[in-house]
Amino acid sequence: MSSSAAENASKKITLRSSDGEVFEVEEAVAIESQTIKHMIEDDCADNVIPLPNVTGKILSKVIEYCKRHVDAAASASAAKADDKLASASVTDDDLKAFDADFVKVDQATLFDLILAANYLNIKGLLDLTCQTVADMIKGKTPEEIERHSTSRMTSLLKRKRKSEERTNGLLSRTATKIMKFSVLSSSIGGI
Amino acid sequence: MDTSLLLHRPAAPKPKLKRPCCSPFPDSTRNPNSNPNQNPLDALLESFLELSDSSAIALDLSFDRILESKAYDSDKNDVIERALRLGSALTEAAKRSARRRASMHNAAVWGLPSDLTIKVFSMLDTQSVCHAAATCSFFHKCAADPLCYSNIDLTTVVPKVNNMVVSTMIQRAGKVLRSLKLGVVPCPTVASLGSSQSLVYSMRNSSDTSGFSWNDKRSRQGKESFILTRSCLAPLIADGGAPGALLRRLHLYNIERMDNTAFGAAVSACPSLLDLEIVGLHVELRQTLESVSRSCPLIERLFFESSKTGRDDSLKLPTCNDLVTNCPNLSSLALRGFKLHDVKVRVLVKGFRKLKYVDFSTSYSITGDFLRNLGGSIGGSLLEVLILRDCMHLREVRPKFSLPIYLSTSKKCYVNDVSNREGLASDDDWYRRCFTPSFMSLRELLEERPNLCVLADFPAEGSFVEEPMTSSDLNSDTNSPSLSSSRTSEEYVLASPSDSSYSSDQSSGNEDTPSSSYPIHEESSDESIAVFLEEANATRFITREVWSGVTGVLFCVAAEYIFRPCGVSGFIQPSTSLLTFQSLPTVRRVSSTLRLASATFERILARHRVPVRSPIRNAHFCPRLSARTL
Repeated sequence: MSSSAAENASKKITLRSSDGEVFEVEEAVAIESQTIKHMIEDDCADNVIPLPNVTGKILSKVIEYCKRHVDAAASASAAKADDKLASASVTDDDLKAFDADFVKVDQATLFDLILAANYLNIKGLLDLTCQTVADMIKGKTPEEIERHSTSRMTSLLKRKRKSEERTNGLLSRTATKIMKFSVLSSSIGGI
Repeated sequence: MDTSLLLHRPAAPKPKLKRPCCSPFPDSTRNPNSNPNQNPLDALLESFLELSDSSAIALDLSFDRILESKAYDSDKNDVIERALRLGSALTEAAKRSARRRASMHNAAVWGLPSDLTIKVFSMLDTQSVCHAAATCSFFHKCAADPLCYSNIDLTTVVPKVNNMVVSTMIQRAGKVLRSLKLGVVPCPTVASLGSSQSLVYSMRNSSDTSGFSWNDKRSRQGKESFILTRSCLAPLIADGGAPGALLRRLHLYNIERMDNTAFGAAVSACPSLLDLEIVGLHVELRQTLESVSRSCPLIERLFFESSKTGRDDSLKLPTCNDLVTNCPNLSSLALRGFKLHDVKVRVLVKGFRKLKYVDFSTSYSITGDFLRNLGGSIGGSLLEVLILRDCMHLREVRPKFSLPIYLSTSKKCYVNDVSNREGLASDDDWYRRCFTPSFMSLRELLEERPNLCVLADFPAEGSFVEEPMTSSDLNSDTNSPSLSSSRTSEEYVLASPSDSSYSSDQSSGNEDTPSSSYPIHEESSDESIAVFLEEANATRFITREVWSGVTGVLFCVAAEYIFRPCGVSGFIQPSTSLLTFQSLPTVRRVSSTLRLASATFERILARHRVPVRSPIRNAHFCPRLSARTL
């Protein structure tokens, strides 16, 4: 636990999500998050760092992002040292492509990523995800914005209410299934 | 019993209680759920609301009964008044609570807390922030945060924004304001050459919009006007100058009512200004530069386009000296459409140590003398981009001598544009315009300096034909009055004088078909094709006649105010008429070379934020294409 000078980046940090999933990452990747970095520096994290505000699914995505960026930074500095500017710009484009793909998720995950990035204090991820949401809002009329931002939850609420109203007849069961399917498809498509 | 109750408590809820309520204060034992410490009003209201699923008819009847029980008319009126008042109070309270709950619901549904929502909004442009604010009350609250208004962009295509809007936004921004763009920017036509920015600054367009706004004003007599007046920037000064204090960027377009004093006052409130862009304002050059030099010592980019092309002659030498002394950080300077003399320009170009980008397009009285002995000495040595488009008086001979020398000595100059619609004046006689800059000696230069891009585009003498392009006609002899590249004589002055008026449009004296006295050297063009293309990769030196030999097709320089960043990079001799880059579908081998070259060109220009103007619609097309390809 003591961070001696001999210990280098190969030191592993264990992170535990809110639902009990455990992730082991290198220290260099973990300290992309300022929150974790301060925890480590203050020596208040013994073996496992608990992250009660982040689920396992989101935490795995965040770790993937951090890993990728740490690797890119390492290779960029190596390329600069070797004066290979062309390869440095290539990794830059690669990284941008990775970022663009990274945020192609459904709205709920995107918002969870924002909250996680905010909690873990990862500036790059926070900026990226907020910019994605901003791009979703950009250029829309107020009605479109409202529809867009509340559609998913509203449809869930509608579904819940309607299913409560349903009786147990076969017809109503079928109708429920059809409605659930349509809501599901609209929520998938309606991002 | 009920009446006494009512008379004693004017603030009581509606007098429609059906339940007999004898005591003035409700017994807590009546309502088993009520808290003994509950406010008596709360208890009363609660018990009333539990009644409220009574039908309206029953309530109506009860109210009538109460009214009847009153003896006097004044009592009856009293009761009715009270009912109305209390009724509306209850309705308002319920509505307010409904709104609050809806807002909370929205916030929960939206998913992000307000600080993150504000962060998202701060990445939006001003128009989208306003739309988001109109969506729901939660967004409205978030959108009122100053961080969302750090970059205010209120430029519109037609006049739509008035002073109120500007002042509201500036007030909302407060200290966070960093960038303000205001005015009317006419909609750019399709930027087919696909460069990063494409704004049309033409004075023609601005006079169009002024015509529009004049009509607009007339039709809006008595209504709120959509015009920005001279005090539109007053909010910058208000509040002790807090909003303007940290403003970094100020762009103003075509605000015709702005005058010198108002503008000067606004600029004086912005000491941290880094980027100032003024297009189409009726302000005098000298006074503007004086206010800038007085108030904005940190300025790095100054872009000033005149509203009265060529008539503003106010620049004086002391002003130039002041500007140079007070604003040492200036790295990008553009003064378009003014009457500039070489002496003053020289002071400016030499004086700014960090100057990298210079644009004096459409300047009158500039002859190119200022370039003499410029490179190599202090000042002017960092110059990378030099643009002198459409400068009427730009002399051919002088640039011939000064430019190559300048370029050879200044190591870093990348881009040079001396295109001129009217050709360059020759040395002695102004009327003899030269349409082919004899930059022959540049060839060697360009061999040494592969990054150099020289753009010298001139319309061909007499071949401004407005015919649509017809494909693959092999008819290059009458078509291309091109001059052989192997010619080594210095000047070739074409005889036909162009229209001597400065405000000539593109058809100035160019409708004549080319005379046949132009030497055509087809064989050597063939050689030169081979030669130049070989060198193209190395030197980016591509003459137009090469292309005319190849396809007769080049890129679009449709009129004044055109700048083609990605059309070609290199040296173009004027020969045939012009064509759009997009209409080069057949020239694949060649176009790939062009694109390679143009990418560098684009990058350099993008770095200097060179505005690209879109080609106007009646671009001139080369009537005949040569089918000779490599």
